[in-house]
Amino acid sequence: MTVLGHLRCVRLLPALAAIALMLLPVAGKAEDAKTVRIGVLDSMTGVFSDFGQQGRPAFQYVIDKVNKDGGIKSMGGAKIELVLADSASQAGRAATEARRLITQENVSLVVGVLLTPEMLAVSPIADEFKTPVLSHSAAGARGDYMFSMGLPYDRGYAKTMVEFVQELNKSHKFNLKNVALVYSNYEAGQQVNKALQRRLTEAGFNIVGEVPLELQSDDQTAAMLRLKSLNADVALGQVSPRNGTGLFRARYSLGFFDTVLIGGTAGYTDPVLWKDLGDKIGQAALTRNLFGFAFSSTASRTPSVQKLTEELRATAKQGHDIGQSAIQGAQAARLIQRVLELAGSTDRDKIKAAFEQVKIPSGDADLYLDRVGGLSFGPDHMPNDSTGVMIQWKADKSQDIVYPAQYATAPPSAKK
Amino acid sequence: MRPEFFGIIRSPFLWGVIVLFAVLGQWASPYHLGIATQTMLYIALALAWAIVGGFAGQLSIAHNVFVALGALLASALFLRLGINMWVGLVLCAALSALIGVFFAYLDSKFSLGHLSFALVTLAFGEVGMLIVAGWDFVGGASGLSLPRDQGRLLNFEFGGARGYFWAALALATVYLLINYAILHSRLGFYLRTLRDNEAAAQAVGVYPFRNKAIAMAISAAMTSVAGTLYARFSNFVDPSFLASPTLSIEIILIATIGGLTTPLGPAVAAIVLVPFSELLRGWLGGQLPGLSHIIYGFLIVAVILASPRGLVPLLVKIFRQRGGKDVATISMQKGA
Repeated sequence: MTVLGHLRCVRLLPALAAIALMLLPVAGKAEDAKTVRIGVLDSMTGVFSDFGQQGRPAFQYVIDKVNKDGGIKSMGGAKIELVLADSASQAGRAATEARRLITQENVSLVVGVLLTPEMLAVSPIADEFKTPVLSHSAAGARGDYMFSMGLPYDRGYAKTMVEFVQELNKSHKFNLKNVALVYSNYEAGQQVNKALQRRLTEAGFNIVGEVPLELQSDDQTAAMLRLKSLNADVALGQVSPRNGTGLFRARYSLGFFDTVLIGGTAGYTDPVLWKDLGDKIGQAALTRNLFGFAFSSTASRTPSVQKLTEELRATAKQGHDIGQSAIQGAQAARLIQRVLELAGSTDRDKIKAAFEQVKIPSGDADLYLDRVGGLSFGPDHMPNDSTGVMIQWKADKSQDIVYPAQYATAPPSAKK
Repeated sequence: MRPEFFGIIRSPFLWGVIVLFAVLGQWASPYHLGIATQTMLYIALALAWAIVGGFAGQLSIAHNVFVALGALLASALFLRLGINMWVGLVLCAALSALIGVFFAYLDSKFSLGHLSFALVTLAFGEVGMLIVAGWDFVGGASGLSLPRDQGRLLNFEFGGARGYFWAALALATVYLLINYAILHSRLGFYLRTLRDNEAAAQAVGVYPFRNKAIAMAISAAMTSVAGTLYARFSNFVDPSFLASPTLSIEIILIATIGGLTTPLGPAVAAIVLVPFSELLRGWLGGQLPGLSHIIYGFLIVAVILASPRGLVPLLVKIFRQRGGKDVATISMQKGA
């Protein structure tokens, strides 16, 4: 008798049966002709949970409105049913959940915050199962079925920031020449940094040094001291919310406000900064010599954005102030409504074709982004108009848009 | 090699379970197949770690470096230089083995205790993450995306979800057999002797460096190979996960929860914990984000409280109470 032969197999059978059951396919749920099932995959936990926690309620709010207003008209008033999932801010987990939503929950499309690494992990699954996926904020769209409302690192982030610096010099006499690059040392921060280096060099700026910020670090005093030692006129870069909080706390502690800080997105522009820093530090560190790059801002004078902002603020679940993630979430919901109206079907290929054709023009009541070119997708499945806005904080925690000029609510002001 | 090992490889039960898993893979849905593949890869990683963590008693927290080498470097060699991933797999495994030997050298040279060894390897794990994040060749913090799998086995492509499941199952099986082979070999005895009392082991002629270096080299190479398969399975090689010391902690957690005294420990723990975590997040993650993490945490605490030596020793105890005898019991009685 072998060693394993001693095992009383029968006693293990229930356990093995349980494991076997987990592996067995679950029968696909019957699709109701009057509903469109949409998978919602956001980072609700983990390091990037701020994006999901803000974006999802706004997304759900708009979808509820769509359903109350009669659903998808081209599909006989079909209601949208949301199947919620959490990516845990991890690319691998996002892929697993995307697979579940598509194959187990039988959704017609997947939408979610899906930052760039999550998008890259999900795109092979989208292609494999030929299911359209819409990301709120990925900087690219890989594969045939992936679309993103986010801004590309180069022609979105870097181009807007560099052109803003040029505008400050040209029209507002800032005289910024020496540039330091301050960025969160992760995927997005590095990619924006590379694009900034190239564009700044081409534009004739002098790059005096780099200050990478460790993503998991809360104390950025050393980084701020390094920035101080560089004697830069301006610091540019993509900064995460956690790094932003650390950076501004250090700025306040060291009383160092000389260098103009320009960057984003959430690390410079999210209302959560005020909550984390407190009013005293916030007023001192956020309202001086700081400009934030954002996808959109609640400061917009565009009627559709103002109306949306009022509605979201009035919603019970939105107890705190709202930021760009909420606007992105609401915009994604309106975009999906348009796409489904165009597709007139839950067929995934028809939905994909509708994504390629959809356009929400500037001035439309369903456009919540300040973009002259409206919202539509190019051949790369990214927005044709990928211009962001630059904001400036005010002492009452509200924002002014300072760039581009056609959407500006106030001129940029230097205050040391 | 002791006869017990040959008993294990001839065991109809062992092969029955493996064939059962393989057959189930034929009908599993893509979602469950994905989770099953991850489970098999975690079994492989936990078994590879258990060679140093369990048999040799060295708490290495740098195994993320070996995963990163296997996943990122092999992918980068393929994408940047066109080196076939099979070749990359071998090169990265060899490089990992060398680094593993270096860790063993540090341990021997500076007579690091268990705690110091853990701290030193943790430092290397962190440094590894920083190197990856700053090294453009392996994709930096952005990672690497591999081309779509077209089922060409010679190019290290296994033809979709089912192919990767079977490949991962085969890898986990081979690793289980390697662990049993080491457990019942002279090396296994030496390692356990060194773990339990290094001074006494040396007194009877067991060389610490040589044996620990061999164990570390085998463990590192196995980890690297599992990393390469993980990369090809996931297509997108995410450094924030595959190079992170958090992954080392996950591997250690699985191996420890299962029990380090038998190769079955890491395997059983991975089979329980990985699907439990994934399925729980699928069920609860959408409606109540974070609750799945809390329940998962409670499960781990419960297992630790119920059986500090691990899940398998707990199962053994239950079997014993019922008058049964199983492989884990015998492994511990005669081997560990």
